[in-house]
Amino acid sequence: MREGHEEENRKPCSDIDLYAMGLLEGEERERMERHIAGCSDCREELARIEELLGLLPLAAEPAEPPQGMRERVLGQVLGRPQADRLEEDAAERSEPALPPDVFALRQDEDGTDARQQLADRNERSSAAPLSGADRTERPAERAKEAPAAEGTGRSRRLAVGALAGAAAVMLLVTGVLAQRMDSLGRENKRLSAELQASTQTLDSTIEQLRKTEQPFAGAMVSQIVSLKPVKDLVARGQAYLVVDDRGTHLIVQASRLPELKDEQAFQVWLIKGDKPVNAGTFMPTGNAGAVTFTFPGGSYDQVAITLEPDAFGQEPRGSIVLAGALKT
Amino acid sequence: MTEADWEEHLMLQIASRSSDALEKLYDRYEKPLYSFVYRIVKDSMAAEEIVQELFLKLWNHAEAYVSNGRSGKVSTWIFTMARNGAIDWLRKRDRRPAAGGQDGMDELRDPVTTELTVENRMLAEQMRQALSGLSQEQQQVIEWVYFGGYTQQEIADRHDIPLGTVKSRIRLGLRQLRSQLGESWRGEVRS
Repeated sequence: MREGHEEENRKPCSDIDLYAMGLLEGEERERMERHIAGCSDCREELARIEELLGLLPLAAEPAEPPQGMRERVLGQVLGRPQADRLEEDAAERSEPALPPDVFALRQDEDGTDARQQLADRNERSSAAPLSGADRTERPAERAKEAPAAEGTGRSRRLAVGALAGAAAVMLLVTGVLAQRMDSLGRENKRLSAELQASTQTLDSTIEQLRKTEQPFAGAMVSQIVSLKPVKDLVARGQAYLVVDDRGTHLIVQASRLPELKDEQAFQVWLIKGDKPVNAGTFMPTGNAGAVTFTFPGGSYDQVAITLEPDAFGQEPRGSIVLAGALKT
Repeated sequence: MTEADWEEHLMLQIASRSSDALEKLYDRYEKPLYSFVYRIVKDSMAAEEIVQELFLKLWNHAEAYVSNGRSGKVSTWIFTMARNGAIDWLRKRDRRPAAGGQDGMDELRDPVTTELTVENRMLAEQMRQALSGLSQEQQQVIEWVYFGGYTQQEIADRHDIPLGTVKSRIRLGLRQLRSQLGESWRGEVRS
């Protein structure tokens, strides 16, 4: 921070770092926000500190994610059937059915979600029944135990509890699974019909996926083109041309696209003279979408996104939404 | 195409509901994110939940992220969300790893083995070195504030340090951190 600047507005400017760390509250915070709005030095300073703070997470010592975390997290997020989660769901619904013993094991878990602790223990019971680290974190829990009982007694109680819990969970899981099987059967029929209909699309998607599997390691961005909207549209977009040893990749991103009706789709075209080459089709979610297209090389004059009546055109039939000139 | 561009592209694909893109982003961030969150909550179950919650948000709100002309990098956004989630959890449980903080900073000196790229690993290493270059007191306040989510007043009360001293340690700590890192890192981050 510059000296003159600091003197001029001594108080607010000197607190910018506290503000960046989220340490100003109430009136102080409001005053700072008003100040920042009118002080470009502080805005710059804030951006610098925020970048610095953005690096702090990287400094955390590496910790090994729990086994199966990827499947659980992605399963939950993408709504895929997932064994561990089923178990946990079942445990959640089953609270009244669990034997009292199971509760004994967690009465002292000071506020931690008991069901999750149970699920956690079940999960971990084969690998590491009771880690030392677990215990040191809960001094209150230890204080309740008689010193002599600390070792084996507690372990046994936990083990019995966990087993009883596991048994109850298994029963419930069986029930839940039976129900799911039913609905999955129905779902299956519907899906296989859909699948048949979309085999063609799928083939080309797989092909595209295969090509985009890896980030473009060692690739060079040869061009970045800003796509301009036509007429009064507010759409925005960018096209990147990336060259690597697999060829030239066109990456098109667009947002604020107009809404699609019926069968409509957006198609991307590479244009040389008056000859367009189809570079992909996309249906945006909300108003944004992206397409990746790999081709052997060669020069094109223009890249354009058109609004098409459906997704299957080999030539542009609709009108241009976004376009940009490529350097040849 | 830079790292940041690639991540932007992934976000756009995620906004278009590409589960494939989400998985790619997940694989990229699983380890550093989990490490960071675990560093704050010190509880593996909670850390997993917070990471899950974050990816759920990411999956459901990528579109808003993409269309709101956001500022800053994807990674900054992700880590900020992670920190908020982790500190919320600490506040709810009121289980902030009390006092100490010392151990934490020692652990920061361990070598990294994340899935992140070489560039990020170098940055992480620089960051660790810069942190260890701070005075003990400065390290502590940054630890309490950043990884512990404590307010200045809480730190002053808990550790019996005058509020003004807490403020100046934070300020000096950040400044020190910056001068340790020099300006070189900014170019790398920006690119």
